[in-house]
Amino acid sequence: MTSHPLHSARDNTMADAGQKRIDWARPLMPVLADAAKTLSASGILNGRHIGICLPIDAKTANLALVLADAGAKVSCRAPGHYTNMEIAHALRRKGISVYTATDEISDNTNTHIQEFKNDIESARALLTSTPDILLDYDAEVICLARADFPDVFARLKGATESTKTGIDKLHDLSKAKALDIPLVNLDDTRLNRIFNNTIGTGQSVVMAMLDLTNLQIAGRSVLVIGYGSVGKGIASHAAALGALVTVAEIDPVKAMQAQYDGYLAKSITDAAPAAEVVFTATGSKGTLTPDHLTEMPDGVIICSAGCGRPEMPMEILQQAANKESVRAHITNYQFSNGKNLLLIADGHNVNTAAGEGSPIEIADKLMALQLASMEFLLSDGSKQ
Amino acid sequence: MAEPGHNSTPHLELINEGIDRIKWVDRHSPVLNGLVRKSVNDGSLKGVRIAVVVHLEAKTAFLASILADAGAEVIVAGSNPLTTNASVVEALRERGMTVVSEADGDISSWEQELLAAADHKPEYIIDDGAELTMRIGMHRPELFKTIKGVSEETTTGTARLYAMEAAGLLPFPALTANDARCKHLFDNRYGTGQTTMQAVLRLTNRRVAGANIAVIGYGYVGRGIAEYAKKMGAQVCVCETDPVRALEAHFDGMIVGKSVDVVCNASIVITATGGMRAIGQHEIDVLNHDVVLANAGHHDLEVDVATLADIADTITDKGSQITTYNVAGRDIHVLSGGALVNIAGGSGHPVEIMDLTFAVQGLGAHHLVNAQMQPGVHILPKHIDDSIAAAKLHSMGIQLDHPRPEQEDDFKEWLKGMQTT
Repeated sequence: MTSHPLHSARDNTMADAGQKRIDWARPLMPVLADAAKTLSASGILNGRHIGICLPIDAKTANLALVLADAGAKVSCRAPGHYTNMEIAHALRRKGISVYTATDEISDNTNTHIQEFKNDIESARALLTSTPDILLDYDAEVICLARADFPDVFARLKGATESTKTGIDKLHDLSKAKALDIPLVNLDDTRLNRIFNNTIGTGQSVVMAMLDLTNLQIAGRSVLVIGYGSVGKGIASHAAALGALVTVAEIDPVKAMQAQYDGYLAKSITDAAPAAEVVFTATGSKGTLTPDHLTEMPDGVIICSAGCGRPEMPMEILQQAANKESVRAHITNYQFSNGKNLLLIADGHNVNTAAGEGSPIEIADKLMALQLASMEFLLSDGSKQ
Repeated sequence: MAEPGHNSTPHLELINEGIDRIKWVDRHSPVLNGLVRKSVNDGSLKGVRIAVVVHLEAKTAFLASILADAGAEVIVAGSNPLTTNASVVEALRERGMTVVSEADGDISSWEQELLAAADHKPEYIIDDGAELTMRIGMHRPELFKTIKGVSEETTTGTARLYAMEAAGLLPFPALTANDARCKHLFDNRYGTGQTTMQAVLRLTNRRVAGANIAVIGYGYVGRGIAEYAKKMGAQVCVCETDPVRALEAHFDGMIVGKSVDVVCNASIVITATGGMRAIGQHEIDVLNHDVVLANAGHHDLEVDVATLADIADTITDKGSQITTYNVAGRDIHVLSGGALVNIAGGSGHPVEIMDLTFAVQGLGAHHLVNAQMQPGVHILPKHIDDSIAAAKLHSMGIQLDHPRPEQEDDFKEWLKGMQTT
């Protein structure tokens, strides 16, 4: 599976639609445009190969295009479920390589494992093209490079990482003294925490759930699991729209903050029986357990706003007696006791997999941070 | 788009998609499935011809199905050419219902569809914007004799019915579903408020927090939009010509002003007056570069797209229902061609909200059939309105107190005292 030129009229039609989304976003990204101007004038990107591993949407596409304009060679790769194929085709038409597994996934009956294999292959393809810098997401590609591509890893000038899930993995690598490249932690920036996570993700996760379900949120019992910057944003947006919000958080200080912010702080087990909609926003594996599902009412709606499937008890869902797609991006799992559970976006992060991701104006600042990081990595931060 | 051939795979897929959409509504409609089915299934609707003329998507289809299940002969038409869903149309036809509308129509094809609905000689009309009632009056006046009642969905249609009554041109009873509390308190405010914000954000991928959003009109719809936008962090400005409502907006914490003073600072403008040309030439003159215009009212001309088209130097289709008019160097983006953005550019109102609205419509139609009503505009009796809210609360397991005798004011006692002195 490699990047390829567009081969069909359908791909071209999709590329047209993708190009329109890219053009729509561009004027709303003034910070990126300014940063790109400076970087382009410096010539620092000339001949550099940048591997973008972020979800492929209109904002990422604008980042890719300004990098290419500034003289860099750009390749993109995102997991299939976080790739907008219209945007991917539009980028391909502009000569940018896009490695994705989505082309091979014809329907949602693929099991997690097959999909995973394809995503690994797209990551391998990107690494084989020997990028100088990786802009990673959930640290998937850095970890793969470290494990399977020692030569590529050794010649990396550095990388950026955007998610908490990724940073947690990289901290482990770092502790094991296995991360000997410069790594810019974008997750810990205030721009990311305050604006992208709380406002951008908060808004777009709640809106994506409502767009997909066509349900009303005023008066609904919503359980938010995790009260980090993402959970905080989801709780505040859901409450703003009239939801009754309960927060489950294992960190006592954050739990107390949730209670003082006006929500009910409870354990997942205590909150589960009344939950009508559940958002997981921990970024941690195994957030929801089979026992939690047992406690939840019939017809509960479950969305991930964190790292997606690892937060979900996918094994137990796969054992459901009956699995049926009831609406776009909504799967009904029925268990042998007759209880139904509605999983949104196949357990993937809902706003990225089934929405358009963070709002453009917010992504603007994040993409500008990516440029600033590259400048840093290629000048004083680079490996000798 | 070419019509898929009958019984071809794409056609069957379309039918199945429509059926799935309607099933989803079924699953979240406790009031329609409980109270309303119980009332309308009493046999009084058997063989009664009812035209359902509301935005033709899954929720409307479910109301039509419930009436058909109760034995009514249902004729279905869309109330706006831009909001008819093809899969829902096919699903209704599959179950044998008469559907006169097609998706992707324009004004003239839609008007033909409404006349086709009229020619089925409906006895009762569940109308939206009084679109069918009005057209029968204009183009098929002789059919007014056979109409026994109309139940109307919207503020705009209610105003039209009152105008017909005042002109002595309403020879049958009309119920204003919109004036039922279970309709306007929930549908207009929460339903349109939530889904208008959703649709604007979905189409534009823009953020609310910190944005300057102007809402034109502060009726129930405008109030809902303003409230949701404000709670999501926007700076909200409101224009309203009714001084009481304008004062209310001020007390609700909105910035209130004249339209030209308000829209000139806005990055998003949402119209909710239910009238026409709320954003007309005067407002267009002062709009910002890159402003987004969306309409939440009944009229497609509430944002005056005709004037915009006249004065624009260029008109570009930006995809995803965004049309950009370049006027004197400024880009003005109109969503969904100026049609109701939450329906034309989204999935319409939330399912549970339409469970209430269509309970009002369903029970309203049943009331029109069974009660002996005089010609003129009527409001749904309070006990029916109350029964809908009670059924919804019951479905959620919420119980209420009943007033105890000792909690009542003792006016009976002191009135007696006043009469004896």
